[in-house]
Amino acid sequence: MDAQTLTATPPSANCAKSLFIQARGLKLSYPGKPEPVRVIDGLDWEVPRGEIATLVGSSGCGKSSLIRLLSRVVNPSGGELAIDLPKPPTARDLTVTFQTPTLLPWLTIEENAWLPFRLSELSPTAEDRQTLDYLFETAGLEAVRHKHPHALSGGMAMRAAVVRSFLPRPQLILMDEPFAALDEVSRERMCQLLERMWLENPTTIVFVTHNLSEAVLLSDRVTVLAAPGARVLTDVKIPFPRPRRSELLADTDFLALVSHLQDSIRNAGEGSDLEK
Amino acid sequence: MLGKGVTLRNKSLGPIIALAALVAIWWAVVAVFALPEYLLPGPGLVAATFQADAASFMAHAGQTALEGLLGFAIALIAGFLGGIILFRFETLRRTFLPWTSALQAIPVVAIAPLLVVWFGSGLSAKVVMSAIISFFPILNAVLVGFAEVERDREALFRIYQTSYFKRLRHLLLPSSLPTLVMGIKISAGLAILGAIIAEMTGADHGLGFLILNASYRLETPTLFVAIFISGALGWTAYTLPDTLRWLLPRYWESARHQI
Repeated sequence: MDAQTLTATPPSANCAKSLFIQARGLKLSYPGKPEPVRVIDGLDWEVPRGEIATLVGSSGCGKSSLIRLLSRVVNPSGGELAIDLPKPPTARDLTVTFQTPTLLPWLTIEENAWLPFRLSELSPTAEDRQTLDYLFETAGLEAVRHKHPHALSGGMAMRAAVVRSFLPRPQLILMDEPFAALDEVSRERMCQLLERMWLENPTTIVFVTHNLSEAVLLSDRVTVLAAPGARVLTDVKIPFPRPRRSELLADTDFLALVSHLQDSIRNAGEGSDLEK
Repeated sequence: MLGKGVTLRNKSLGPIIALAALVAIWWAVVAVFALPEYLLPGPGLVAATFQADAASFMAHAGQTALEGLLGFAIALIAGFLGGIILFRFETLRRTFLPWTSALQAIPVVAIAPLLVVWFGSGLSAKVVMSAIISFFPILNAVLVGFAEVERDREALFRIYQTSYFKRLRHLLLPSSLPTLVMGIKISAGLAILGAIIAEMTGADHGLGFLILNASYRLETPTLFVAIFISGALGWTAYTLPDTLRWLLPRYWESARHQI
């Protein structure tokens, strides 16, 4: 680990970082004709504890499949994937945010927030209740906590999903393009909310997006994947200090880094649907 | 407010006018062509026939309703249990599902005489018939409803390796309620049909018996009354499960949409 990694670390995180996720020659293929579809074909990738690691790539490059592997809903077809988590995990170990808010319509927003606890048979502590109050406050959801999801706008529902992921303060949060369906303004607000919650509660986050600015703004490290087989095109550390304000989006260094990533993708003949 | 009231009145007014027109045409056809009552009795005569023997008609209808209800209850329990078990065990599903659709393809009328041989001409043959015909819509509704559950919602539960029972209770059943209500509606309507068909193959009361008997004796007015009562019974069975939907909060309907 070089010095750049350390500058990107939140002040509260451990300085001696251990590897949390380690993929060695990771493979995932689905049965297909005439031959199996190799979604992930020999991926080497690692994430140290406490980092926000982002995967970028055009659709079909295998990033969502990687999230499914990391959440252990599917098993690898080959290679190794070591995640330092118990099996089965509880809400304290792992939460996932999907592309859609994935709230259950028959539960209130608050009940939805407690769902990971309920599913992993954990009872919330007094501290958890305080955390929920705080998160609802921060995310601007206090007024709707006893409402049902149908009463919420898309952006609010997504915020509720993010709150649900942060509430148990898990060791690992997986986020699969959580803001893809949001407009530019709410996306920026969500990024800031996410960073704020993460700075207060440093956990490891694996974030998937096809938006390069979003990736650079949020992450400690950005890994660009390319189809076929989720090849690693580039892997860069993001040096900007935190908290990162939205002014950063206009910063020359920031723009240069985004362009650099864009170029590396373009040179590989990739990224037709990537956003800058 | 006013607009809503007007549409509501228009909505219920339309079918009533249509019904009145139909009855009027019926009456006119009988009067103009002076049709004999064994061919087409007029609406007045049909009403009078019913009125003269209302208690007996209702007793027959009650018998059919009871058979249908018992058959439906069995189908409901068997269909739910079958669906829940088949959904859980993929090998079982692959083994039995092709055969259940083959069974469904057998016309129930063809099975009815066999049931009389096995169960006699009492209540049980009708209940079994009614259960057989109304079982499949429930089974299919459970399997389709569960399979339709959104992948991410399913993943949310799978991450924590949540047990099947818990997934049933908190995800699969609530998610598929709208589909289940639809299956229950179809099944309840078919349960009445099954009972009537079984009654036609051997019974001493019930609407099916009444219809068959009246046709033998060319008592066409009685036949008409029995047909109308059967229709009313089937319609009630089909629409009653809708109250289940009204009991549910409105947001439940959005269960199938991504939220």
